[in-house]
Amino acid sequence: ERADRERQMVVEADRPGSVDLQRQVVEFNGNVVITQGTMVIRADRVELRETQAGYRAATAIGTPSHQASYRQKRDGVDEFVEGVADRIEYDGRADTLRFVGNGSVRRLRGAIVADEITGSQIVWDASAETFNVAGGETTPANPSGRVRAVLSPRSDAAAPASAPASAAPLAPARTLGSKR
Amino acid sequence: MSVELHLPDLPEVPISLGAAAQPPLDTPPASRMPWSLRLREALSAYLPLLLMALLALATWWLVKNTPSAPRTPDQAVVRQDPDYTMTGFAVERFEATGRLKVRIEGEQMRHYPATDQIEIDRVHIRAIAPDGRVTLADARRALANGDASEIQLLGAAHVTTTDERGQKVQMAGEFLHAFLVTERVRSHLPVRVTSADGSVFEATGLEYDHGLRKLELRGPMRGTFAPRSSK
Repeated sequence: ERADRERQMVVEADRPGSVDLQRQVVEFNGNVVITQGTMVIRADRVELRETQAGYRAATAIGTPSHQASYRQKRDGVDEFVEGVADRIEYDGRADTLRFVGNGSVRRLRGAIVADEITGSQIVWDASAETFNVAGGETTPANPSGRVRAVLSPRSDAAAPASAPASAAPLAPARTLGSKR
Repeated sequence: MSVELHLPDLPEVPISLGAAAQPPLDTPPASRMPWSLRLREALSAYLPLLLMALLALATWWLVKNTPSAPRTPDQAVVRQDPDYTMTGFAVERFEATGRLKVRIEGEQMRHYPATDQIEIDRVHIRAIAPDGRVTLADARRALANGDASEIQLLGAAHVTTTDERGQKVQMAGEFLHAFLVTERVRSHLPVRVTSADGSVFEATGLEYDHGLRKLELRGPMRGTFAPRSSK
């Protein structure tokens, strides 16, 4: 939610961490959990920096076996956005999250997955609520390196018949920005 | 078995080749000397030795009986209890230049000569670094060494250090070991650190180096960051 940014951020970790008060850089290690309002980021190592204007930027790095994960409730809608990647960069000022390294972001409506986007680099702008995904390096999971987006039609609870929604014609595109 | 070799121009000398022992030529025939003569003989031979032995005995006796010098108390039994105590006190230490280095106030102080340690109840410490930065510390009980360069704070201990920009870092815990000279704080018990921008860190131990402004937190820890300070 948008109000999350005004809330307190709590970071918990298991292993020893360090705080550099001079450069305002805090480092956490050992299954770190960042919670701020409804946003939750889990990773193995997190480096939290405070930018000049008092905003905070965090870099969450997962382990190969256990990727860094992110989850946040969308503003005003009972939907959650979840994402996993090798590395998640959270920028407090622009309120964007960059999923780097075979990332995949899902939008869940309740328990069902509405959309799912996978690509090597995904930028989720929480305030403008837009995904921005770029393909790129081929990974074993995604040999062609192409972007893949699975968008489910808007299912109005009222209309029982699953009429094909007038989805915009999907033009194959190298980069895909979908606005929902 | 001895073989007689007759060499024409050599004196008649019997040479024995065998392994048989030959009695040395110059021993006088073993005639029995009267024992008194042999006693006098032995006596005159060993007289100097006897005299020396007598002298040794005398000196040994002398050493034995000389009264020992009063034993210098090198290891005076050092008293374990405090040798002086002060109540409602304030101690100030100054540098050679006259600048106030550290001021320690407390309710009661006991000085232990054995370990040259001071124990203070309800202590308040104000240490001023050469460049004017102030470090405050207080606790229910403190153990400081002689020159107050190292202080262990026990029981509701707080240490507040400020940096040149006046930003305060507060540390609170059950045990804090403050090294005032090297400006380090160390603790192996859970601590709570409040940094200048209001973010609070709780950990099970800390090692703070004020020179580098670096704080190492140990074990499971939690950082709570205040909401974005709207600048």
